[in-house]
Amino acid sequence: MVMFAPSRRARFETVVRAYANDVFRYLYWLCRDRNLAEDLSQETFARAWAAWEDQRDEKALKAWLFTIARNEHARTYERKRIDMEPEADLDQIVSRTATDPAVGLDVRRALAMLPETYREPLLLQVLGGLSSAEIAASHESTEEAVNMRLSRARRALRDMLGDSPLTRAPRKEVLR
Amino acid sequence: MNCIDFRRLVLANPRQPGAMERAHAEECAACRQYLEKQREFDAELFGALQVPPPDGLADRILVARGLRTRRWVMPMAAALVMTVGVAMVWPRLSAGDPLGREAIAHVAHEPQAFTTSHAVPGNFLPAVMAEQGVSVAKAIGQVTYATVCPLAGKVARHLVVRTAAGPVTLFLFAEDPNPRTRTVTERDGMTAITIPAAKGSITLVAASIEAAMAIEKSLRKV
Repeated sequence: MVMFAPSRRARFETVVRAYANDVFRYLYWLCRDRNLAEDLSQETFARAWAAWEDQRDEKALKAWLFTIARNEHARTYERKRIDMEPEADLDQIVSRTATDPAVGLDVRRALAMLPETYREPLLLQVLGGLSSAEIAASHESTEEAVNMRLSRARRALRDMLGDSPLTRAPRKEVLR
Repeated sequence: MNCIDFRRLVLANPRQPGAMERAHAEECAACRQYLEKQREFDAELFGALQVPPPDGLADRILVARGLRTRRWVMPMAAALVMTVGVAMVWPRLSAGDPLGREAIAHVAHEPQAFTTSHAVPGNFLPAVMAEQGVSVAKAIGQVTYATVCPLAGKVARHLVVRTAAGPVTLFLFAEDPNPRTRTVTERDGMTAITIPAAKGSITLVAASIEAAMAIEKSLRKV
């Protein structure tokens, strides 16, 4: 039986307890399947434990966990060849919903309609608290590209949600 | 910075505007309102994302890794009312509680926690308290700061709540392995009260014991 130093083990346990729920929520919003999200959460922490380094600081650690989770999700879809709906164009989705006055989507439905390339960085920022730089690193992208996706994601959500008090623009404003 | 640049940056990250964005918002009422709307929107978004995780998820992950043996969780003392001042022995003032001391030191080293304003939905505090088997008996104030911090070898939620008696910092240890009794620590002009919850423990830090106890009295084990 392999014995681990108590501090290594204890710290991992602390991290599992701190972040398991957030990792699960992130995975749930990627796949929208509770059972799969739980399986992927297990896989995420299995990989994290296998590569555990005590010296990782707390902030980097969270970004690292979410990157593992993201990779696990991607790997599962590659492995199982799940039939995925082809990724729709963001502008088409927005125009389809925005032109229909009956469309009053709630936030969850609107979020589910966002193409994955926009939803994923938004989830990492809002749920994971990751910075644009951290998201860029996990996506092998640039900070500017991530910021553009985040902006477009929020704008698309607001457009899809329509004329709710929350998203209504202030009247008569002069921009400088 | 002009309004267009401001809005582009705020759309990318409304929660942590940089120094230039904050300066622009100070001067431009329309953009200040825009930032506020975006923060409200993000708070709603954050709330919508909070799907309930499976019960015992962390335990199952640890069991699967061989880091924890299966065990029956002791039934919680659900009927107990928590820590109402009149029901408790008057606090034993102590400068020696390590958790209280660390909590006070943490607050002293994070002054930005009191100047930062996070968009936190109104139901956030009851929701995170419920994770520890605690209910909030009355509205105690607006959560203006919410993050996760390492503290005393554990990871705690770090919240700042604006109450009528001033800002109070809450550290929520959902998985505190140490059995706690109520302790009060006074140090550096601050008071920390650590109380056991149905699950884990909670440490309250405030500039006065009255402010900390005002929050404490509103918490109940469920």
